[in-house]
Amino acid sequence: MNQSSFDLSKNFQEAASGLTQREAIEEANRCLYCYDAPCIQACPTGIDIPAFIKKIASGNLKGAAKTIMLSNPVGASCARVCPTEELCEGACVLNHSTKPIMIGNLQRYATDWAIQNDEPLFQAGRTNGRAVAVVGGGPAGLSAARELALMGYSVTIFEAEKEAGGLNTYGIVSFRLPQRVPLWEVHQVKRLGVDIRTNTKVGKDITANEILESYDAVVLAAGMGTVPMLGIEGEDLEGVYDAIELIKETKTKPLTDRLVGKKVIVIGAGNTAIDGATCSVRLGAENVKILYRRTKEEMTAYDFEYEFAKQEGVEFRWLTAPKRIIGDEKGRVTHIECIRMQLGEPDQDGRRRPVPIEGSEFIMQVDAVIKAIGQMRHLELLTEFGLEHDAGVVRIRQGSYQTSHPKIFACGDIVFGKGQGEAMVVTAAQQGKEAAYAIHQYLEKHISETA
Amino acid sequence: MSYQEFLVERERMDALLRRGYVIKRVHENLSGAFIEFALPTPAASELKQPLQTLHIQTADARKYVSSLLIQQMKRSS
Amino acid sequence: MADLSMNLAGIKSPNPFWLASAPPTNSGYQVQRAFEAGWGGAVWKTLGEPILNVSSRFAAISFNGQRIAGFNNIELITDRPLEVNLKEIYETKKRFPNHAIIASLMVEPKREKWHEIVKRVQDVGVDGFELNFGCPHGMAERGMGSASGQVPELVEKQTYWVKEVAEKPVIVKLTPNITDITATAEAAVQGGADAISMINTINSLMGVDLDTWHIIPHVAGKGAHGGYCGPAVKPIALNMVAECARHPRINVPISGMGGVSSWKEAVEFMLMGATGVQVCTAVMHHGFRIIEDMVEGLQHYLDSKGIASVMDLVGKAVHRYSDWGNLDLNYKVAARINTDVCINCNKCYIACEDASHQCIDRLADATGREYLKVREEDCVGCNLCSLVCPVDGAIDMVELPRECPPMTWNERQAAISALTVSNAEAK
Repeated sequence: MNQSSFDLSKNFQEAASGLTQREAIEEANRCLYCYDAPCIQACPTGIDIPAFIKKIASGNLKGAAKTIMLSNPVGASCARVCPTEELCEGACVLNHSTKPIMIGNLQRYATDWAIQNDEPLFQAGRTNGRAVAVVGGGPAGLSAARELALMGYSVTIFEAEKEAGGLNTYGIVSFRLPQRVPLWEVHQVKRLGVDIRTNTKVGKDITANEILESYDAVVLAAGMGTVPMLGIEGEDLEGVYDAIELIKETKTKPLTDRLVGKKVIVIGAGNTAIDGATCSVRLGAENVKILYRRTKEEMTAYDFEYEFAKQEGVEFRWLTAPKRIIGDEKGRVTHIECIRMQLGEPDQDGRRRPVPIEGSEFIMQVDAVIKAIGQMRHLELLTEFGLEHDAGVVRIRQGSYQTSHPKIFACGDIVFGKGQGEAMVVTAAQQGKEAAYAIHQYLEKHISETA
Repeated sequence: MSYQEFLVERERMDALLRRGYVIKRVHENLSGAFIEFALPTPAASELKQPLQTLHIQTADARKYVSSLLIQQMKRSS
Repeated sequence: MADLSMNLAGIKSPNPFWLASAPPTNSGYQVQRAFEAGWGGAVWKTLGEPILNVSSRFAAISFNGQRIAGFNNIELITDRPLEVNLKEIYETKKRFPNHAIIASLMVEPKREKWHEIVKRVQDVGVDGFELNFGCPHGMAERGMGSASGQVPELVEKQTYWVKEVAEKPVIVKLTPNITDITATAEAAVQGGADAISMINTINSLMGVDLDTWHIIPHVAGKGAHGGYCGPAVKPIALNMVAECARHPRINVPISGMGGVSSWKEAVEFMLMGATGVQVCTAVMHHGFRIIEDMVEGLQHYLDSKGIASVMDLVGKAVHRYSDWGNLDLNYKVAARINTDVCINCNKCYIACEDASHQCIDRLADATGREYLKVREEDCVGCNLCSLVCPVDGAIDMVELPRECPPMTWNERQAAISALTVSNAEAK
């Protein structure tokens, strides 16, 4: 038992090792230092990538970290979880001649230096006497708070969890993103004087009205909630898990051995499904399969995540949907009944709708079923603030992040969906910055009008 | 100094050459080259301006005028 | 197969690659290893009164991660008694009779000192001498090395003394730490030198440690200037070889060295007038084994050019080296960007914009795809864009059609002054 949990904990150490100094300098020197570089355009937060790489090459690591973190307050996490081949590295001009610069790894090298040396990188702006509340301390909320603090605002973050950092802290597996990384980013924001009230859930520990009365503006960046119900029989059996809860457990509690030697089915094919599947592998599962009702082409996980899962030994069953989870007399999962699907006509978001093939049902023996079919919306919170929304996706004014309530600005996953926004950490960070600028603009205007 | 400026200076020199002027004197100082053009034949000297001095500033035009001078000297020798 | 054998003022070697007098030629063990590896000759580490060395002797410049772009040392001549070196020279020559062994010598600028060492060394059967008038550190403070090599009269006189007793060819090795190397080269020729070699190392201070503020390299907290060599000095060395090669009164063969790292630099030095090259830093970096590629690469080059003997290269490009005043002012090249090959890094754009003549435009085609274009009429043909371009073949420097006949600065000045004279005569 002791031995196995030791082995498991090794499985949860960061999988990819960082660059050595020599590797980093060689790679940094390979960067062409393009003028008006396409990698900057491709980064949602617009990090001046050639500038930070040049700084690594010259040995100015603090400067490199500042360049990264100035544009992206969660730049250390993004160095690890960004789909770089679709963003900066995909845009690198060296794709057309040799091979692209390892921008993500260099970004990790510079931010790792900053984490190890724990030097403050920024100072809060001169206080302007105005206060902003941020609901949710994930990437979008932290980013907004950091930017507002730099501009001189007094900022309070209301965070429901024990620690801020959001999905970076709780929802991405440790072997991809160790918790110390987002917690350092949180610490950086705290250092600017931002008050982070953890274990404080809006609607329970403090009301929306109290916040609206005490602050000049509000950033609503509460992200999304738990995984929704599959809506099939057997969902309440022992051995059925919510992927996000499972990952959170590995980051907050001693590692469990209850998946050791077990057969696991993961339902869904997004980023969290991949994390849930690889997490199960590393928790000792004997076999892990991902079931997806569409095909590889429609999968929302990134290519690098898919590759990683395959390397970890995860099997993929495309065009397969769960129909019923079967348990034994003790209420434990023993089997899952699935049905084969085929792709029909495209639905409203352009993806071909999966249609069940009648009579194709089959049963597989399983010990655990992990649900990763998306996340639920914080409907109660939206009601609490009285905001307009489309099925939980907060409506914002084009380009301003302002909601139906003029004092409330929303960003991050809470505005993602229904064809609006992107679900990447890096876009949440950028939206946080932009929401902060929108608030600044709004308050400046507001004050000049009332003066 | 741009290519356009060179074209203007070259044209000013070419125009004088077309009217029969020859390079009489080249004086160079910190401000560039001062090229004195003269009319070689006495009949032509009845014109109002028998001597014309152009201030040539662009590097390409200063190269050009020296090429013209070398050609002129070759022709007369 | 082209003949690689070489003859420099009567000193013959199977190929034109010699090891320069330096740490790699310190002992018989090393020189024999070198000959086994394929080196054609070796100039033995300078003989003279055995010296004392300091600990911590070398330093190098890394450029953007590339190790040993430049190298310096504060090591002196041999620290071993003459008898020991002579015994090893004798043994080495016996084992490798067809390889060239040249004894580098350095003594005080006194006639009897030079006579004594030359006589003792030639008795063991060396193929020639190289007088070390170049070493810039340590020995110079004692009136030897570059201290005597910087004074043309001393160069001439000492060469003469050596020639009084030498029965083998005498090469005079020159220091680059002088304004005009042809002055000392000419003095060596006046003194009767059979050949000259260049360059020795260049006075240098490699750096200062940013944390300790120590000189690099330091000896117990103190440093002294050293001698600089390696790939970074090649252009300086090549110019000095070429200046001597085209000088009408310097009519002896030249042994070229300074930054030779492969067969390519050897070809360049030979085209600019060197009869063979000497190599040190590249060996210090990689070992004797680099000779295999040097010999093979040179062989393939000569064969591909249909050249029968490596000696046919010597001096073939010297006539192309001239003074600025003889260059054609009416020759014009311009940059042309091949958009098919260009990867749009914009390095050329910003280099031209900030450091040259602002003649590259950033444009977009009908589909919105960005491309770069040179305004040829404004391009002065400086080459900068093509130098910073990271992709081979993306920028060509193309020759533009001639608008005026060739005209050099000297011809231009002559024409202008002739005009002034004829005006004066007319008056």
